[in-house]
Amino acid sequence: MNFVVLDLEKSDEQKLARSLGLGGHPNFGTLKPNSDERVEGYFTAPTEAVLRGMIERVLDQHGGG
Amino acid sequence: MFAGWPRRIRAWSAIAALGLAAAVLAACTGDDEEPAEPPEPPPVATAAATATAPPAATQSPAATQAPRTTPPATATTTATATATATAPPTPTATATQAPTIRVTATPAPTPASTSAATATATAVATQTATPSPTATATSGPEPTATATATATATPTATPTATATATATATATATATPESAPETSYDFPTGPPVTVAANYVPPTTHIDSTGAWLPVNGKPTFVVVGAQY
Repeated sequence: MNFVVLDLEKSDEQKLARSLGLGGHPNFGTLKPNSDERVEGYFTAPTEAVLRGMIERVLDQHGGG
Repeated sequence: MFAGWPRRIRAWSAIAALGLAAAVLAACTGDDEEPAEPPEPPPVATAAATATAPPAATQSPAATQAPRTTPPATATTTATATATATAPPTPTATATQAPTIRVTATPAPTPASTSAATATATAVATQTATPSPTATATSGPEPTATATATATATPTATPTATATATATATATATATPESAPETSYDFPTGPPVTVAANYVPPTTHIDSTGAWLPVNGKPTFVVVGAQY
């Protein structure tokens, strides 16, 4: 599993975040392997269970480690 | 017998009679011992006769009569001499047969020697290709064939090896450019960032990983934040 952290104050990272449909703050999302296609997205501060559920689902669908 | 004779004369006459008897006995035993010796030569003479030729057999009967007189003894020696003289012809006959076998055996080696000659001819042919046909007029076809075979074998082997080497080199060369086109994505890519286990995020700013997505076959979890 890859983890990417983007800062919206940096223009290139903000551009990438917007292209992923995650231009808000704070925003969380999961992507398919070797792709910029989003699986899920969540806006505003999530709970730990929400974040854990997002990670488990993308791993179940697309594998990884 | 000696009853009327005086006692002394009787005693002497008895001793004389005993001496005569002993002499007669000794003479008899001496005659028996002499003929025992001659039988030994005859077997030698007959053995020589069977081994070689009839003339020796005709002389051997004389040898059996020989024991009584000295000349026959010399006859036996001459017989043995003749026997040894005639004996050589027999070995010579076998010797002539043995060469016949050797002659038949020589053909077998002859092919081997010819083959060895062909081998050497091949070696010479590889070195001097043009002059060899004139020199090997009788055995010309064989060496020429082998020379051609070796000539064709050597060049065929060398190009094949070179071709394989070139193929491997090309494969390796094309492998690198093929992996390069795979990196062409419509989004920025980069290496995944490794974070230490004891990493503590800063409170003053967001420590971002970079404006790219890793492409290592694993799904990605994206966190977007801002200082404000």
